[in-house]
Amino acid sequence: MNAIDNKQLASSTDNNPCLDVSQLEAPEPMTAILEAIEKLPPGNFLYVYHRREPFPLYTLLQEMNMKWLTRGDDSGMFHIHIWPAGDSVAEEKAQAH
Amino acid sequence: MNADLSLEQAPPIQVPFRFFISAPLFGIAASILLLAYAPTIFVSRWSPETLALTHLVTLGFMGLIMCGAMLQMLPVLSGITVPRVTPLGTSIHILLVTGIITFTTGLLISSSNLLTITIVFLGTGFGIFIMALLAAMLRNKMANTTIGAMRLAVISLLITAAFGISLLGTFIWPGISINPVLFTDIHATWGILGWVALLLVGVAYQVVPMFQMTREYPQWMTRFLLPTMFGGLITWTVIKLTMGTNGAQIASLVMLVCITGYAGFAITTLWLQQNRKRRIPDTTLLFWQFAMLSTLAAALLWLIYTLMPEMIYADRYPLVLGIILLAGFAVSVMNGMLYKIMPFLIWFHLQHRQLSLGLGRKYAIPNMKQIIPARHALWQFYLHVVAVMTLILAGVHPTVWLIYPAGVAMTMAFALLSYNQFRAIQLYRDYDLRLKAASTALVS
Repeated sequence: MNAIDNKQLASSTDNNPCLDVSQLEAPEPMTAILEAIEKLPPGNFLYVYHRREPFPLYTLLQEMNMKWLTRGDDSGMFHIHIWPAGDSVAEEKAQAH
Repeated sequence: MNADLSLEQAPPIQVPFRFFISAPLFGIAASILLLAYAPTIFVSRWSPETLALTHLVTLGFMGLIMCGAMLQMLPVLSGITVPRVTPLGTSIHILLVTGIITFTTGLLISSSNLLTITIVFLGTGFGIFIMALLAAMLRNKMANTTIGAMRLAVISLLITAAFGISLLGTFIWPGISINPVLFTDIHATWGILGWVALLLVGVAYQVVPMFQMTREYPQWMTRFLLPTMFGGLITWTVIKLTMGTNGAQIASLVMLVCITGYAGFAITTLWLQQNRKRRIPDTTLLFWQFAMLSTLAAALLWLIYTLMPEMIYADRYPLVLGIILLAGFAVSVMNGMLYKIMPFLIWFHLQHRQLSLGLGRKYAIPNMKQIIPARHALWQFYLHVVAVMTLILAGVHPTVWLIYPAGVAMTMAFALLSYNQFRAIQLYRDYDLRLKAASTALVS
């Protein structure tokens, strides 16, 4: 991880799983994200750090009944929060993050 | 982007694949034409068979891949979808394919009827494509260098097509008074340095770092290169059209800026690829490297000819430059990109299929490297390189002893590309059927 601070990432995500896919070749980021979603504990969101906005992923997230929130930062990187639709605890945490 | 935003479905796999599968078939047709007219085809760039050969490659191979890829990549790279993409894509494909066939046949048999019909087919096909893309891109205000490049590329296609149709008009109605050499230069320059190169550079900004794990292109390049190239081409065209031979030196100076820009892009791409983070062997990377070296060779050749118009083989210059740019640069990048785009789309659509069938992600979907085996792609790359090198030699020395090997290598390269595509599609169909069967078993 070079463009993101490891410590900051670990502390700010609390117990929510976080995934840095910024160094992976396409389509490995998508595979890693889909695998991580399957292991997502209830009440938690998945935080993903990505170098692109993953538009095709959204189609799959819709099929998996997941919600997401994507924010771009000034360095051109993307921060994506993903949680199951209807999991209000996870959604609240993701929105507040 | 917010989760509540309603996302339209990406185009069905059939939409881009229809374009991708047709492309090498036109490549094979071009190779057969080369073999059939071997004794005369490279004597002049103006002969009907040379024009037919050129357009089988530019419209048939390159044009179809670019149209199919743009309809597909716009949503992948930017989230912008083209409304009613399935009927639009199908209509555009049918119109373009028919237009390419009537155009090349019309040239070969000197039929003004076929050439007249061509204007209708190609004009409508490209017209619908340009309007659909521009409407989709203008509706979305998203700032993105690749979208900016796509806009400039589509405008360049419009200019290329306008000059191309004017030239076609002179074949049908000889009374039209335009300067065919000037119009051809403008048509060809906008085609290769505008429509093709602007799009490939814009797409490279995203796909080179994404698939080859390089660093990002420098920000000054992604911000300024393409608008400068586009502005340069507009200025060059205005000078050519208004000043004639009086403006030759200024036009060359403006073109020098464009050529330097593209050469700079090629050097940057090679440097980024050389210093990539994960050094995994990759055939698409080889295609890109070969294409970038061809770009540099073309820039050097242009410079030598501009400084020394009396150079050795000066009469062969336009044809050789065309071969390097079309076969060495454009066909290489597109051929290489197909080895990423097609496996990715197959993998993605199978993933989507199993989720939409309610199978979760339990079923093992082949990964991208299994969809087109690296060995097959590599052999096709070698054949392509042999074809390009022999074509260049044949361009310099147009003898049958060079044109026949070039034609054979070209046929084999396009045929192997076609085989690799059909094999991948067969695999997609097999897995699609297996997923459907698994879904039926789950329900029962």
